[in-house]
Amino acid sequence: MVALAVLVLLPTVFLASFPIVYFDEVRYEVFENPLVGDENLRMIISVLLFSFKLSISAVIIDLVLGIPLAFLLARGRFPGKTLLETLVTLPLVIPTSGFGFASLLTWTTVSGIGGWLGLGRGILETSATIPGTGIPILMLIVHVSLTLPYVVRTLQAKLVELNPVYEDASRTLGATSLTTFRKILLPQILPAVFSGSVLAFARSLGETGATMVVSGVRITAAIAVVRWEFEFKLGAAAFLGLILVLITWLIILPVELLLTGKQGIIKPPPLIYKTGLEKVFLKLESKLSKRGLRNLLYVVCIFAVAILVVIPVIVVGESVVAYWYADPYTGKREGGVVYQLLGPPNYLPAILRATAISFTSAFVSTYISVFLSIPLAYIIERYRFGRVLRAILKIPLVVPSSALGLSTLLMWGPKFMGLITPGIWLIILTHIVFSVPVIVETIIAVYEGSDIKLYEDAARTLGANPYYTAEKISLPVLKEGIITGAILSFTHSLGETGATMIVMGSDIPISALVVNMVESLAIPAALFTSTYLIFISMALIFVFRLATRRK
Amino acid sequence: MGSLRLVDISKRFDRVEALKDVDLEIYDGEYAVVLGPTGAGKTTLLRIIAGLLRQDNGEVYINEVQVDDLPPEERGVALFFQNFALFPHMTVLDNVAFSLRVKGLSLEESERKAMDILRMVHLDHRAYSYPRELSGGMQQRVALARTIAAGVDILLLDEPLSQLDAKIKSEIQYELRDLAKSLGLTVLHVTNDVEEALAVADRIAILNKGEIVQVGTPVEIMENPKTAFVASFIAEMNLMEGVVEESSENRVVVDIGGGFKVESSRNGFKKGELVIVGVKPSSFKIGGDGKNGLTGKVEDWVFSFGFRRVTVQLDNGSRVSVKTERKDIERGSSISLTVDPRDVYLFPYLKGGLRTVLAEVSGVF
Ligand SMILES: Nc1ncnc2c1ncn2[C@@H]1O[C@H](COP(=O)(O)OP(=O)(O)O)[C@@H](O)[C@H]1O
Ligand SMILES: [Mg+2]
Repeated sequence: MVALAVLVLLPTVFLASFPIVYFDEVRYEVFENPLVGDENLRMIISVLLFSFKLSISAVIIDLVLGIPLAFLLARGRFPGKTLLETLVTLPLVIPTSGFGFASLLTWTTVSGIGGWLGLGRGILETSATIPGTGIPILMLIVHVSLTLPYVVRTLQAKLVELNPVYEDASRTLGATSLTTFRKILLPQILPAVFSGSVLAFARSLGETGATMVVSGVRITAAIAVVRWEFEFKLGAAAFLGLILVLITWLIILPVELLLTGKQGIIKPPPLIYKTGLEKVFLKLESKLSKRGLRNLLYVVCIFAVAILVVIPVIVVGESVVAYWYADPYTGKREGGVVYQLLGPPNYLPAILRATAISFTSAFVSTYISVFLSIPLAYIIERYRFGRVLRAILKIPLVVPSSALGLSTLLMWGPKFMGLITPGIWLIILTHIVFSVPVIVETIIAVYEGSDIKLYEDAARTLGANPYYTAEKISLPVLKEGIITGAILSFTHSLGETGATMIVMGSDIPISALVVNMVESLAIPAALFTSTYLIFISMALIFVFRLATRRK
Repeated sequence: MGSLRLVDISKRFDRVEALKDVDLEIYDGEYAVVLGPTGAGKTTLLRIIAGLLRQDNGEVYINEVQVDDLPPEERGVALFFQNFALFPHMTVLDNVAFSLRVKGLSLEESERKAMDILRMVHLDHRAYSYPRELSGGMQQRVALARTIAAGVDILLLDEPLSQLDAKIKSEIQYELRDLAKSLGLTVLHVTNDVEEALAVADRIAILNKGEIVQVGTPVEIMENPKTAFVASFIAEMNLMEGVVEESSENRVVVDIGGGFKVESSRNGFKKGELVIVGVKPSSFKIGGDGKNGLTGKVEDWVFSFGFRRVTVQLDNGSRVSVKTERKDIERGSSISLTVDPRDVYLFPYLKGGLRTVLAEVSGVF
């Protein structure tokens, strides 16, 4: 508990208190700026509206794609399942700026889809928006890719834990597969849908790295925070950060408190009977419940993953090949991958060192986070104040990562406690702050509505003490949730850029190295490093998944 | 209308051959029971019929229509699940009304009908409880109500009475049969409980290790078990191994070791052949000097409804169970038994001998 408070909650609270402590500064910058008046405030409002629009749209698309995918991964048996699973998780691993870069190449340049189709240009303008909504398509695409894993993984963990016998029963009682989904599955997985959506929403709201690369002229709240930080408008940055947190809470808390019942099961109101909609639904469902249609849906979803994830990866890989010996456009050897790695720029040793740092910090922070998360999830489920705790834990997710990095740095670093100087240990501490909430959420998603409490009670009456019970009964049942959380947090830790760059000191992990390379215009080296990271991570998830697969 | 025909159904899981060439026909309005020990493949069979599992081989016909390509909801059979599978997020009433609602009935109408059915299983007073608030027996009755509410002609019941205590069980099993008969339903009921099967079935099919070993009315099977497995499982016969010593038209003498010879009026076995001898516990007579005298010691006895069940250690080392109404049985005393040759059954010897048969009966492989 103490460890938890110190490691996770303190930096969070520290951040939240910032605007209050520095209120004068906030007032000066936001409300009563002598030069621009409340221009900043209006800016904040418009930026917030835009951010919410973007994140909510991303979550809706996540759900449309994510529910079928999660179902396919949890219930289906087909070759290549582990591969699909890995692909869905992939966007988390790639440093977000690298992924943004890859998506930019894919959609807006001739190296990407446009070139493949022989258009001679990208198929999208960076500034293209969905008509009538003002949401930039490219930004939405990137946000969906980056947040889809949260929805899919959370739901999948829940579905795997859910006994398929209820679906069977429903089918033999005459319900079509879609009706079964609506009436049997949905009420039981709703808490997980909710958890996954919240994670995705929060992540989208706070995403910085990729968004900056593809944003063009539009600014999200997260980017605004980072810009202001760099312009030393700390007060305004912290203020916007706080608003972000508060608004997110306003959305999350009521849903969490009102909708989730005792068993984490949500009872739908009989409204659809009253309006006669039920009959319409049943008809529609029976029309659509054809095996062929269902397979079509799966194919569409897999296709979407391919477009969102696989193609950017291929585009990056292809570019690495193209740039291997020399810049394909100028023919200069200095622009080739080989030259940059082994020649005078000599990036290779840096890459190797960065690899070691990245994996060490990802591993250590995930390991510690798992141990913190399990008791935490338990407390949240068992005690009344748990819900508050759970809501507090969402803060690290919504706060733009760089702001979070700043807050850990301020707290632990030379300015405040002076305990830890920037470096790998501070990276680990920072990563723990956002890993714990992710793991806790995935565990809870599995825990709620399951029979674990029953098993626990049974074990207790059989003479097992609480610790033994937790170890032998609860943990195995929660395995799916823990594994999912660990994968999400490990990969996130590998790819995290925003916070990491602020706290890393001279221990440069690979995600930050990519950004450095981009900044020093060593694009080929950056391309190579991204590709290299993608493949190592893919292999790693793959092995991990095989090792922990259910017998 | 509800007839069911299975042709050559086989199903294999990774290592286990769960069903082997199962052929079975169930007639319209019949109450059929598939009886077999745990792990025999009963649940697998029902899941295949319901369309939840695809067989490797063979065909399923419902009302003479092949249904193998139909999804479960279009097959017109309702399955009662062994562990009930009551929807945890719905009340008892909602569970029972489920099948009515997915058919498009209104809220009020489905509720009224579901209530009627709940009344039949005496659970209308718990209509608004959640399944987890009910006892195992109550949940079982809810599940039964839910299955009946599906309104189909064919019910598949997977051990529907296993959770009830003995007293209620004997009551409910007749009620269940009457209900099915009065509604004109065709029922395929699977169980591992012999008494239950004998009580409710028009016809019993015995399933062992995925194979149907005998089909017949309860009386036929009791009187004429075809294999040692059926004899032991259904009629609880005592089984002993032996060698045929003499064989003629109506007389076979088997040497069962220790100098004991038993005569049987059944035949079909050749001299020198290994056989399994079966005798029902009630066929032994204590004392007397009829044919087939056996001697041994009383090892133990227990009360059973109105009689005693005595375990006797025979002098040839084998152990038999004897049913008697006599009260003067003492532990450790010597005892002599006789049995009428007409009550001595003979079965073909199996690879692995008696031990395999007994292990199969208890469902341990
Ligand atoms: N999904 C499955 N995967 C592997 N083996 C199974 C599966 N379902 C059943 N079996 C095996 O098939 C055999 C028959 O099982 P089942 O039909 O459940 O038997 P019963 O209902 O008669 O107890 C058992 O040996 C069981 O272990
Ligand atoms: Mg079974």
